[in-house]
Amino acid sequence: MRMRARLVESFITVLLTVLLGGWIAAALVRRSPGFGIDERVIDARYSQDSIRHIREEAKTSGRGVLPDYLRFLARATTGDLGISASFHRPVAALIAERFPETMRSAGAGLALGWTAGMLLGLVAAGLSRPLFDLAAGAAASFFQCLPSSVLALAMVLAGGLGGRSAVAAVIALVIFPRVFRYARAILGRTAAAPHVLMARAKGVGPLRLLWTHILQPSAAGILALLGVSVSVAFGAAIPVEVLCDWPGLGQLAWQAALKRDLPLLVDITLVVSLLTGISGLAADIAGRSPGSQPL
Amino acid sequence: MKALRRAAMVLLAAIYLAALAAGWLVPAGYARQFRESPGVKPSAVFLLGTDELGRDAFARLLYGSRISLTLAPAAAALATLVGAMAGVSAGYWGGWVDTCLARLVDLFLSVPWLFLLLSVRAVLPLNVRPLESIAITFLLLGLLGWAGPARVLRAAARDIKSEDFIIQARARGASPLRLLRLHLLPNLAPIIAAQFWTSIPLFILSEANLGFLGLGVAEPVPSWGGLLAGLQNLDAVANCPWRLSPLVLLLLVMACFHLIVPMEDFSK
Repeated sequence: MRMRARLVESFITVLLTVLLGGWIAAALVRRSPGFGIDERVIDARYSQDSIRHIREEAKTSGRGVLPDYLRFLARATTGDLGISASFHRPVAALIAERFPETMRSAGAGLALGWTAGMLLGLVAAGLSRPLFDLAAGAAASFFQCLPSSVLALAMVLAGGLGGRSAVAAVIALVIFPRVFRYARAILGRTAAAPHVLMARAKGVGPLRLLWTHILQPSAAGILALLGVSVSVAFGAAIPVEVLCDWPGLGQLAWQAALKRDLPLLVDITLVVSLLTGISGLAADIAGRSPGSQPL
Repeated sequence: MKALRRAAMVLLAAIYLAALAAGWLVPAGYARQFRESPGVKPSAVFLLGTDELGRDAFARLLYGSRISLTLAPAAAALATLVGAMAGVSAGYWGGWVDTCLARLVDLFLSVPWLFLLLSVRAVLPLNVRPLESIAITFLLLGLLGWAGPARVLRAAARDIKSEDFIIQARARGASPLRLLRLHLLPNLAPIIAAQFWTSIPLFILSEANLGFLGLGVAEPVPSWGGLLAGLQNLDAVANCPWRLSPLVLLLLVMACFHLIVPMEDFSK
């Protein structure tokens, strides 16, 4: 019962955070230079009188940030996120088209990055060999030193990978070093804990030792990274989707930024924020499950 | 490891000094176009050759390093300062100040870093003068990157606040300002310094990504992001491998930072 109440509280917190973010974004967009300027006012075919009329019309149509934001939220509940000024298409349709592409590649990249990071972390913590640690640490450092745009470029230069695979590979290379470092630190600490030494002394088998005494107690700490890694994955997707001309959310956000299609950009950012918030919540739930608590 | 760290510091200092001496090392500057020699190979005159517009690639690399290596620490200092003010206030005063700031930090950290940068950058005018673009890029990094340091410093301030020496000082009638100045800040100084040093490589990478996407420092002023964007001309890179020099230098600098300060911030 208490667990359910905490979950509901966490979910409401995520929702309120995203709504607050949306309001701040709406206020920022309102204050941005050039916002709301009608292109008709620089069209030579319109007379001065018509231009004055258009300007007055624009002045009276805006009701302030909060009322406009509330109207936007009311429309959003029915799936109407407005029309993109640069693509001249409904924003909801644009996001619905691109979202699955980024989700698939981000999902594959996250799975790959987490698997590689966890495996290496496990082996490094289990072996405790300085040479292996050094080699794995150097590989992780190398990838952590490169911006995701350069990794994307390397993928294109290497060739052979399709758009989705390239996006997934870059995301995996961005995620892997971070997961490895955290997993290595947490698993190493747990492996050196007294209860593990005791279990080993009592003759517990290596697989059981790993699963029951090292992995399970470390799970909460490691899973806490899941939400953040989703956020990092979506961020890393932007340059690689741009470079590989892959029609995902990252590319859409970039196009919206270059065309200053601010409402579209804000909508995309809100959707991604909501997703990362929910994934953080999911990680929190997984971390609180009885099997994954530290001993 | 200590020797390696020292070597990294020396190398970083040497690169920064060379970047600062760019005006003396390459007097022609980064924008001068040698129209008679566009796209030439490295030679004694042009150490790294020239680009398609005939600009000296070595000069652009040095000036770009100067901008990235000066302004990333400046942005890191700004982010750490804002983060320290917010985090320490929240941790020290607690109550509604803490709740509000914690929500704001959550909000900033819930948005993927590059999406946040892209969104706020797009709110500002895109067609600006080069010097304005430098200021915008690094102010953006500094003002948006405060949430990470704030979270860490809030937790540290809360821990220190409940220490015996703080309670004793408060019992002796020390004012909040005195507590902050004499007890809290000196104890937080190493954490503030660590946050500053950790932010620098993250901001260098962020600038590189923004520049690569065409939303960073504007031409003709060079920065590492802008120079890396030049690598998108894949044919030119394949035929002229020396054009990879900005990437090599970035990698070298990042590796040095990596040896000096471990990059533990996962959020960017």
